[in-house]
Amino acid sequence: MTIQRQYSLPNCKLVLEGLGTQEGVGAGKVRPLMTVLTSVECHFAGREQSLEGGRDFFEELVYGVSRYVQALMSGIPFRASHRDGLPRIQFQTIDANRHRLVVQSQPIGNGTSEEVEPVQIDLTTVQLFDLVEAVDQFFADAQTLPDLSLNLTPVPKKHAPSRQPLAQRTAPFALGLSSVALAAIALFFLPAPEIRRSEETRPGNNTADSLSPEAETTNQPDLGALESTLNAAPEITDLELLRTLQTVVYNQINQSWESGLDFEVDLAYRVGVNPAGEIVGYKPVDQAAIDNIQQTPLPGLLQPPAPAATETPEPLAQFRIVFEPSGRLRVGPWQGQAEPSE
Amino acid sequence: MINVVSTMPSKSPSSESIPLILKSLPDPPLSHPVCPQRARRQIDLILLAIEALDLGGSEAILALAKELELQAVIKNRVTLWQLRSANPIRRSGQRRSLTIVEAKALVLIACNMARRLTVVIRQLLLAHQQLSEKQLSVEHHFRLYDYLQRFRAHFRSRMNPRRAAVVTYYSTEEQLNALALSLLRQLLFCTGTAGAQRFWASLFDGEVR
Repeated sequence: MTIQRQYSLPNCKLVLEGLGTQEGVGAGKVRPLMTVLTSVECHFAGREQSLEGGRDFFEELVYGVSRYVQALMSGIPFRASHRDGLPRIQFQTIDANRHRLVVQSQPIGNGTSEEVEPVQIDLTTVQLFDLVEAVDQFFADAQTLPDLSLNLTPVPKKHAPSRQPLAQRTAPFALGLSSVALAAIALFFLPAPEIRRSEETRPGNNTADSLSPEAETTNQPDLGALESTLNAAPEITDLELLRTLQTVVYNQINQSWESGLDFEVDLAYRVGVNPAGEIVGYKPVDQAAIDNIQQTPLPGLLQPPAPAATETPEPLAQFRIVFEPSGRLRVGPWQGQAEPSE
Repeated sequence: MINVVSTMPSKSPSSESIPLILKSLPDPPLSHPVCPQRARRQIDLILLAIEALDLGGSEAILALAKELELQAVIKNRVTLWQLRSANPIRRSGQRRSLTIVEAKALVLIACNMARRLTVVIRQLLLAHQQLSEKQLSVEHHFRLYDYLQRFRAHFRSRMNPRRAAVVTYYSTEEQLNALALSLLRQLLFCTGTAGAQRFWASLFDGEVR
């Protein structure tokens, strides 16, 4: 029986015709197994003429596009072993967004074996993706040519061209300078690097609106309860963990702080962070910090411990976090500082 | 700059408890079973591109780790940050290696996230293609411009500006835009039926025996 299978993507359609067996068709809905390919057509959107061929052509197409895409993803070109002469199907990169598919000897229709001009098709990256995705859907189809399977293997070292200067210049791993490591630990208590928030304009029209609905839906945190959380918890003393948590909490707050800046003085908070990097409590250090809390991302980031967990409080790292009107964020260790006098 | 291998107790699970989903990616034949430098960099940069595409990116990554039952490998925010710090061009003072299991988990998460962003990724690539054809600058497409801007900001805030690779290849706005677009193209291939397998194999090109 003749079977037709199609794999369609917006820019590319593969149509396979072949023969199959009746095995397993018995109780109705199982698709017959196609074991022999008689012909294949590859259609591209916007092109009238399709590529056509038989089993050999199809194998070269699917494995050729697969290797080419892998080379695009890794940046490491694949050097094919040339068995006899030029491969029938080749992919060439014209530029970042143009990939040329060259096919030798496409039949003109009357089966003549004269030399014909190779066919050249330029594909954009999205069109190329649609081709390889159609191929991958074919590979995933266990009922069509099961003897052809996706065979992805990394290019071995010896087949890859010699490394580019970039790889050589990426500093080798070693030279772990233990003295530098010791100095780093000693320098831990310096404040974290201050990174100026980018001056680029944000899509600011929605941020003011989006903050208030959020504040209404989350419960207003009970500041008294938060403070007792901070006071009751044992302190984390592991220096490496503290350093990690400082960076993690900096990143967390920095990424979430998207609001417009509508305050005039530094806003400072004492913040407690658990070993999982979650902010479990915070306390504003002064009235300005209390008044402007909604301009900081802290209420949205708060993950208070479950009530059961307060029986045995987990250890916390305590940080002093300052939001400056200039957009700068500062995070440093909280060293039992009293209300600042600034 | 500190090059110290973390001496914290290994967090990688024993072979019995490796989540099943990781078996969909084969173990590459490496001389040492750790992730090579280029792969560590590439995985982190792909995740960076995802975060630049989707504002909720970092939270979504953690939520996805739970959904895919990968908490044994990616416990929480701290672990995730530590794994990504294995990227040699990061600023962080801590250096650690990345095991194959950890790399697989990150790749599966990245490809899952890419799949959810398929429409956006295609839109941006089509937009860039059209702008190039008309020789217009990226400012003419808001969403594309926004992605590039956010990518540059994330890259600059997290990567070490003193690394030779960063100085030479990733310092100007033009270079970072080109990197952002290159990652966007790779993300497109990650969205496919065999996206994770393809991305995974490409990470080890030129590294295996």
